[in-house]
Amino acid sequence: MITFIQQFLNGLTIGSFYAFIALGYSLVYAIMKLINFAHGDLFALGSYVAYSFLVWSAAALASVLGLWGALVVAMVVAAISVAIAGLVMERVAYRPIYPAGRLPAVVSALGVSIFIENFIMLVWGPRYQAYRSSFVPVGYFQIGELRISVLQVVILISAVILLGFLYWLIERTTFGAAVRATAQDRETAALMGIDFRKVIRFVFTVGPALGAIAGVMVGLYYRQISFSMGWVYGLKAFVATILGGIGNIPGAMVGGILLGILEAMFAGYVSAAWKDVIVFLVLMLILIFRPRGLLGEKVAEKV
Amino acid sequence: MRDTLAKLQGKPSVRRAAVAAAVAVVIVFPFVTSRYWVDVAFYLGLYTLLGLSLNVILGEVGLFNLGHAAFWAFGAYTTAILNTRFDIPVLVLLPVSALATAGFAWLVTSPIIHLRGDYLCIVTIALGEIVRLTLNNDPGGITGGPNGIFGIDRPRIGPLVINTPTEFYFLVWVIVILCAWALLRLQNSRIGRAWNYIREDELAAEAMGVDVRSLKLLAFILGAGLAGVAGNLYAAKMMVVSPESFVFLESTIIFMIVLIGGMGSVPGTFLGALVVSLFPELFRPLAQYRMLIFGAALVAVMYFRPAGIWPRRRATFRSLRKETGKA
Amino acid sequence: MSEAILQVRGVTKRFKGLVAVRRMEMEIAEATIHSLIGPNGAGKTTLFNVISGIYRPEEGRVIFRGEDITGRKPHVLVAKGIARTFQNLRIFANLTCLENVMSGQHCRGRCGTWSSIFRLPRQRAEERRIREVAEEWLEKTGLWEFRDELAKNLPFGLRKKLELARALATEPKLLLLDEPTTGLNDKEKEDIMEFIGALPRMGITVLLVEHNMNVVMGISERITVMDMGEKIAEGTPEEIYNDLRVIEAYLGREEAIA
Repeated sequence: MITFIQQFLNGLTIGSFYAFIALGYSLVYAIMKLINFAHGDLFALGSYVAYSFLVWSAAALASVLGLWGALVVAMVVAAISVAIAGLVMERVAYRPIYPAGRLPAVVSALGVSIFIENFIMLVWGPRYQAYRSSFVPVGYFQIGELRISVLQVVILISAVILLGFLYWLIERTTFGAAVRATAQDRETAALMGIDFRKVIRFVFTVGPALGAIAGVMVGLYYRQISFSMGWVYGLKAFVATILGGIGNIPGAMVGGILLGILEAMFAGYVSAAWKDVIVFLVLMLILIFRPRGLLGEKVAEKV
Repeated sequence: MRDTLAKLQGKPSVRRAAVAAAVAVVIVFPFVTSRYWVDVAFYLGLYTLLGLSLNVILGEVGLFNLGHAAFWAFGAYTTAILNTRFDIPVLVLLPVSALATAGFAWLVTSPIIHLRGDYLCIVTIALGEIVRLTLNNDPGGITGGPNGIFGIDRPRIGPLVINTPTEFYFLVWVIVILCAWALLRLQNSRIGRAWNYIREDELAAEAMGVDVRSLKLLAFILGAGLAGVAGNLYAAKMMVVSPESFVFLESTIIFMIVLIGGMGSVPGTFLGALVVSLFPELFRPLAQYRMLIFGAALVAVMYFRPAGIWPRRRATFRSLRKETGKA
Repeated sequence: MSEAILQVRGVTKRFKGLVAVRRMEMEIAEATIHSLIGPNGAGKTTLFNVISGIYRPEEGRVIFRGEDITGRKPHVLVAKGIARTFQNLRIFANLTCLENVMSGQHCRGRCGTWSSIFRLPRQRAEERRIREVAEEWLEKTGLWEFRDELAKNLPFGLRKKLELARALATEPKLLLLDEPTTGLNDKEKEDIMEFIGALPRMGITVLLVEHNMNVVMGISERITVMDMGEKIAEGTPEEIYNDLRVIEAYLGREEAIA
């Protein structure tokens, strides 16, 4: 039972990372119908930016704001820098190429992904970097044999708050309605007076920012970050996106959490080496049997 | 300028001369350059073959396959396992690897062949990862785990052993030229056109009597079979195979070869492979920056030439009539 | 009246509980033009898609030349002699006009991968035939001069003709046309209707879906009227013209009967 709860909590934690990243994919896909292959690398970039920021200023900030305050500032810095990177990427690599069709856009996205990954490697080096123990909160709660770290609790709570806020923003506000309308039908939405540019700016700000926050959390949780981690996390988050139904915002959140739990349970009870194989097999099965995802509806093609 | 160039390309005499010149260059090349460049040219040939094999799937039919390295790996491991365990000669394993990989492709793509666009793309990425991770996890001790399999023999034809870079160079280029010839012939045939109909509009193709499902599977089987050949050649050349040779980046690079060259264009694939293979050589002084530049260059190519460097030219009425004779 | 080439027997098609076509009955006589009219959303295109094999009906059967073809795949039906066009034009944009029309002959060919690679004599003969049939229809539709042009470069009216030529190149017994005149100017409309009117003389039966009644009056032998997924009238053009319910269905919901 203890293992079960432990694995479940680990699954929830990893799942909330996936959910954060999956949202970025889903938002961009909903609006542009493009798999933003560079999204995973933006996540990694966020992790590195926060790392450097903490190395540079953690001691000074912590003495003023305390450790938690310093971490929040680091997250905000990472989110803002990566959001800027996302906007620049959209302007330089997607907007000019998008009219040429989907395949050129896919190639461009892959190009940006390779670019960012190598940019990180050049700036921070090809070796693993470790979040220093001085930035990572160490406390834990002990309930019987169960041990839950404070960090894990904080990650889960902030995930609930942030995802809840996003859900509210997209499903309950006028601006969210504009985003959803654009996702449904871009031309009609434009006729209704929705500014497409504004929606694009929104998805390329919020998606990368959430990715960056996930990047910082991953750094704190696992301590180790590498320039190539964006690919693995990105791919799994994309699986989560499909699990929940591509372009479906609550779906991306649910998909992320489900995938995290599935992965943790499989790693805990069956085999850690084969867990990724299982993740990808699940993806294939979902696409074969429920191509619109678990939460999506099946839509027939209009003839 | 572009018009005159297009006109020249269209002239059969010019085309024939260009092909003859290219073949001549291929023959003379190893005798006028160093061992190093012959090796580079071997890998160029290998990537051209991989590009041609993906071109069948991605270029002709428009199926987004971003997991092509899986088929390449399957061919390489088939050769490695059967050669090291059962001492079957590597050259005999060339067709065996092709058939085994084609069969594998048939098995794994049958259930996913109906998926469209991005969905197929993501499933093929997953497939590539499943294959790589499985090889890495060494099921039943047959794939050798992360270290892979070593001690693969050289190909032999009777007393002749293919061993030197020049010999490998000729082996790969003979196969590349044969493949290119076969694919060019397929392009202007009932099969090749049907592939293009599917790429242009799947539903309309079905409504015009094209068996979309079977033809898509055929493309995957043929493309994977050729990738299996590339796997065999790779295993024979390296004498060792390991999972790290077949990572996602390899699938991406093969994908790029097709798109940089031009979808469904055989000469485009040659050019695409040339660009991708020469890129690291040209930027050798900037070694650590070269992948960074490569990423940026991809964006630039898609900006300036979204249809690729050498897009496919459609066959004209005249050329078709010439091929099949007058009424 | 000659033998029915196509019989629709009690066909019902639903989408998520919504009934698009309800217990439809229809017979089409060989070598005639039969029109299917009705307002938008009447279920004409749905029925059309059931006949051409894109949708499988929940109930009922479709019988073509005495054979039950219900739920067969479109490409199988094409080989049996049913060809179609699309309401919103689906040509192969980046291929030449000749290649577009050659697609029609795909189902009449047999040659596969190996005979194509080695260009066996059988394959060359087949390729020649494919090309010649395509040439013939390009000439008949007046598209000969555009044979090497990419389909996307043609003006709309010619693309519509190209789609027709492509369908005819399958050598159909039954041709299903979904609003062939939509988007055309008067001259082009007249032109294409005259062309369609001549098809029965070549032994081709035509099922024409239109929502413009005037277009079909002149050339149809029989007309079936649909509304809300059901057949509400059937008869000769004169009978239909006089049928008040039809006029009501039209005038009631459509603002214009051009």
